[in-house]
Amino acid sequence: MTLQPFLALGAILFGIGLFGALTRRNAIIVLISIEMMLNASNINLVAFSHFAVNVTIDGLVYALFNIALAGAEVAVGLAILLAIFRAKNSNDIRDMNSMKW
Amino acid sequence: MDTGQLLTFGELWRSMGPELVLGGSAFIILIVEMILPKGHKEAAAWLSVLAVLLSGAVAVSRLGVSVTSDSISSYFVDGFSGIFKILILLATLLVILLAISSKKAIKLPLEYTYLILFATTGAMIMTSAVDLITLYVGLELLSIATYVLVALYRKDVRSSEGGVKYLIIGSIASAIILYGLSFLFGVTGSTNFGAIGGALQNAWSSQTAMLYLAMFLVLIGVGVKVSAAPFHLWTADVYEGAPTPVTAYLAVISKAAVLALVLRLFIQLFGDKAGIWSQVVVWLSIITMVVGNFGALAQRNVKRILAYSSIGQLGYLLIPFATLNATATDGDLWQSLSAVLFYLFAYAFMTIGAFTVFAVVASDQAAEDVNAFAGLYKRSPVLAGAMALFLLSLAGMPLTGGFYGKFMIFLNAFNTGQYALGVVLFATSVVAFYYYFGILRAMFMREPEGDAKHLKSPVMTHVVLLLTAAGTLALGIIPGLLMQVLNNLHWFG
Repeated sequence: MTLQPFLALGAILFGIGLFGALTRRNAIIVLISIEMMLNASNINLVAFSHFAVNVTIDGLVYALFNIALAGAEVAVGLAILLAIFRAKNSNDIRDMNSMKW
Repeated sequence: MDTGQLLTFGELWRSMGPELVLGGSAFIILIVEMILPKGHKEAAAWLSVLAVLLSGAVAVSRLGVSVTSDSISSYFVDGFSGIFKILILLATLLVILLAISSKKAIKLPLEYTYLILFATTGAMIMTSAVDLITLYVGLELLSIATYVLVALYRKDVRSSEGGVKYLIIGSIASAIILYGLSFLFGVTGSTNFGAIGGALQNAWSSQTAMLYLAMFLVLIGVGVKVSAAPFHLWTADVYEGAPTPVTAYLAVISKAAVLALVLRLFIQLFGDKAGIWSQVVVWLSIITMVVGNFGALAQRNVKRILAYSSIGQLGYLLIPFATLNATATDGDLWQSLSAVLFYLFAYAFMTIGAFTVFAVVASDQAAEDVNAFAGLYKRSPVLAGAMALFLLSLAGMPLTGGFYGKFMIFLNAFNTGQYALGVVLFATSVVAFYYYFGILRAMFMREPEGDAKHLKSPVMTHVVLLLTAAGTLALGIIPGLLMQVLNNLHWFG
């Protein structure tokens, strides 16, 4: 195996995530898409770390930190979605339109 | 400065003193707020004021420290981080006081007391971090805490809605930054700025594409975070939805911290390619100034006007960053950083001041549009006078901090030959006068709507207004005080 397939996987995952986050209407799917974007970076980091000339654990540690941070982010995201679901009884992005210019 | 060894507590305290005080107090206040009896919970807010003051005292005592004495390998204590930390702590203090003063109008759950401290800890970490992991953890600590802060006011559905929007856009921006940083790690094989800088010497020629990708991904993510146009579309909605103290926090502290992060990253790591990114930042700055100031013209809601005005102000703040092109000398660099910091101090005072007046008026009238300000001069001369001062400072009238800061940025643009930036700064400032005068006219020239009884404001509001007005005026009349501090600072040394 070489480095390139992993980078390609990361890039594809990042692209799908970005596309999903910008186009999907269900807020939960949007959160999942953001998770995919974060995990694309983790794949990059782990792959770079594995194929590096001087192998260090820096990339793996970085990926571990990112997993924890992504967990915190999605926990906060779900909590806020719950709050808005109680008020509007919907988790559709299109219903979040009470502020317009 | 040794890697691979456990840090002693002494080293940790010397390098991260202000953050330890602030983060530690945040945990203490988190517990204290739970066990305080009902009716006395307000004390938690004052404890957080105390924590910020303590942390500020530690931060001030570290200001003159040389980078070699207190730093650890992943965390630099230099003049650059020191002055940014003082700015961030000062603004946090004003924001907490603003939150305390508006407790009658917007009864924020007291969770804000420690959430603000956590966010500020993250902001301070971002100014000092010289390791990709530390830097990203600081960024996320700030971001996640502010997502919660925006959505904290559950009585108003706009707050939750602003929270969702901020969370989604902010997380996408974080993910883009992280994706960029992962390439930077991949090319250089290290997360530490020192090692990355060394590896980049050779890597620019062999791994050009990947490094440019990393650079521009980080720039785009940061552009979203500081709401630079064309990545600004979330700003007005989130600022409108967030409770007013949190809006002030986002407008000042989040922006200052992300600016600190991007300045350190680009100057210390991507300095070789300054000729390329500075051109991109020039355009970013021009578009942001134009979009922010013209966008404000179309708004009726004062909070949204202030949001667009803060986008315009961010455009001004990007000018010194944009002038750091390939020919910039060390002298130009210090001048640019001084201009950014001076304007940030002025911006902190005038923005928080303007939001303080807005909080009182909006809750009194239960309306946020310009009409709510009609005849404010007759109802409360103090509020109207203070608002006039802040708006004139934001517009750049002489004798205010905003004028001197803008003047420094203007000089910086002309000294480095970026005439276009100076001209756009001047032209968009003229546009800004127009929409600020809309509010001024409503306050001074129009009659109050409905019953025009005297508008009473809490004592704490007057304290915040006094502090912010004194700061705005002091920076305008005796700018030498702050300039002297900035001139004597050893930024990265």
